[in-house]
Amino acid sequence: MKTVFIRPERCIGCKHCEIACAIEHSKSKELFTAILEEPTPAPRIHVLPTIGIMTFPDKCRHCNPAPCMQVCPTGAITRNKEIDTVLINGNRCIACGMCGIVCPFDAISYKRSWEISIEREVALKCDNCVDRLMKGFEPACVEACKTNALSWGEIEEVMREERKKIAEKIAIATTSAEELLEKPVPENIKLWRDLGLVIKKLGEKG
Amino acid sequence: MRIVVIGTGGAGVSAVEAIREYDKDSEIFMISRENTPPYSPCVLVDYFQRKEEIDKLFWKGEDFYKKMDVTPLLGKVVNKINTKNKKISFNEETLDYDKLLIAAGGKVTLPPLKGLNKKGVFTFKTLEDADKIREWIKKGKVEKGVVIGGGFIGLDAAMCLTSYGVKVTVVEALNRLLPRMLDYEMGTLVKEIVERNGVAVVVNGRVNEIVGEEKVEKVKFEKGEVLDAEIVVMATGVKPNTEVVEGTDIKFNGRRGVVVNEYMETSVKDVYAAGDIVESIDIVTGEKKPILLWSNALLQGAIAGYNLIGRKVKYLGSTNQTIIKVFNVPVVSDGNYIGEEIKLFSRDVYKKMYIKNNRIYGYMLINTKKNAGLYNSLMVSKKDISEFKDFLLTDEFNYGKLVTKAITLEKETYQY
Repeated sequence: MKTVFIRPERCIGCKHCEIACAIEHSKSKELFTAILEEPTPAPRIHVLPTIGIMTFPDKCRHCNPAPCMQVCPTGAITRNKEIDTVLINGNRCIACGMCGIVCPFDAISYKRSWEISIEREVALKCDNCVDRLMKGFEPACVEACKTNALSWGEIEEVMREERKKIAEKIAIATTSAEELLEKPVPENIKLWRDLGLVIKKLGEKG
Repeated sequence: MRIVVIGTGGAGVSAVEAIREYDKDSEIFMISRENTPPYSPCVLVDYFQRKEEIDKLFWKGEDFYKKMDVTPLLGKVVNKINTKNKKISFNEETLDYDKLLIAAGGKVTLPPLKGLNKKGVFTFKTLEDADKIREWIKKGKVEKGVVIGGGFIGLDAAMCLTSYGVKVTVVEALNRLLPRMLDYEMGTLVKEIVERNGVAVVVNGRVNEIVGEEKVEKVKFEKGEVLDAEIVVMATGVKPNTEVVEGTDIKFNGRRGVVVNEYMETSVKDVYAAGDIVESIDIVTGEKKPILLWSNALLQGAIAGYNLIGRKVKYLGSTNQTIIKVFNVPVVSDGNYIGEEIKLFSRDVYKKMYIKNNRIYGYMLINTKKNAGLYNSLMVSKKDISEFKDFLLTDEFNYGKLVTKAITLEKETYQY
């Protein structure tokens, strides 16, 4: 089953994923018209500020078994087995908040959405961009991510890549093959992070 | 195999779903005293205010019994369980079983008041209750109402009556609202929210008598004060409905519920129990107590269902995590009041947490749900939170902090 994988160490907090997500879940699916929509389209992925200048893109993990799905009192939350995705049917949602308080990732927010016929808040969370998947595209946040902090793939493939990286690190530690294997951080990202550190220091001074 | 389930509430339904996940052949019977498809009590408030929400009320669909290939025996009250011959009897009929699941739920506890039998006195627990109350309001001239009990159900009832224009007074015997969820300080804040929405609240109020000829007219307090009322809703708590096991050799612990082991099996072989009727375990303290909550019922129901068909799944315990929307303001409570208290109050958001030995033991939130699940998982997993202690309740705290903690903070280790 394909999933969105998160590599927090690569995230630079640019929030492109948030914008892409909000656009994908808007009525018009176009940035310039989406910002004028009522209700304002909301992202279902949230880039959280964390320790130091690090950021973390937080979204629904489509857990199995999913606590939100187990607890929903209206049967609004179901699992689409084909794409292994937990989906919320907003028209059945009464926004009681039970899914929100059992989610350990705080991935569910309560907002109004154009997809709901009644004017009230409902539970919103990542739906793995079902519409895009059906058309053969990858999720909007993955497409928008410039640093590959978010990637779309089979768990086995991603794990294989991670294993390779660990093997490389061991190789670096035990031999002197550093130049061959270490990928340099691109200049722009290095500068961006240095800027972040300076700003953070300024903040600390008060 | 023939499986009989007593009760069509949350625990019963989730058990049947768990059974049917693996076992498509067994015969399943579901017995209930209520003559409806399975409904969700959490939706009662919405249903009461807007009758068109009935499709959400029947949370698994009106065709649940058909879909799950279950024979429903509705409108029947179980009066005897014969564990020796594996028979149960109800309304002069008997039924054999191979495995029995008791998910009979809870029932309202009524204090010994005079005048409870007057017309216009209701409880608010079942769908039937909701329909009856609505009918009463629509039929007669109901201007003033009294809700006795300021807990979860009491506030729900007050909100329902208010939505029909009834002037409501909530009477709570203890010194605060939501006494089982909140402490005095937080309960008082909820009281302010309730009062702001036009509901009068009387705390430390003990009702003595419900006065009226045939219908309710007045509610009389112990101290002598009198309130006019055309409707009285009794929301004085819920207890495990152990009546069904009384007189059998199934062990139960008085008001605390039926005793089960970690596989949700009672003291009698092949008889299981789940939901509001059993004595649950507090996963944080290990204490045994009834946890009469929806989430707990669904969890135990599913576990009982799996064990019934021979798939061993252990029940480790639950938390009493609750959320209620008081006039659209979410109020969350979880855990126990153990240890040191930390709090963060802003203009309209109130957070309080109990910490002992660098572990979370409980928390309460008013007007926010943020991080509730995260606090709950930290509490259940007994994580050391000493390094987050300073900002645990602020908006700065989030799940990402836990993740990035694993990656070192040094500048050099940022990767690309």
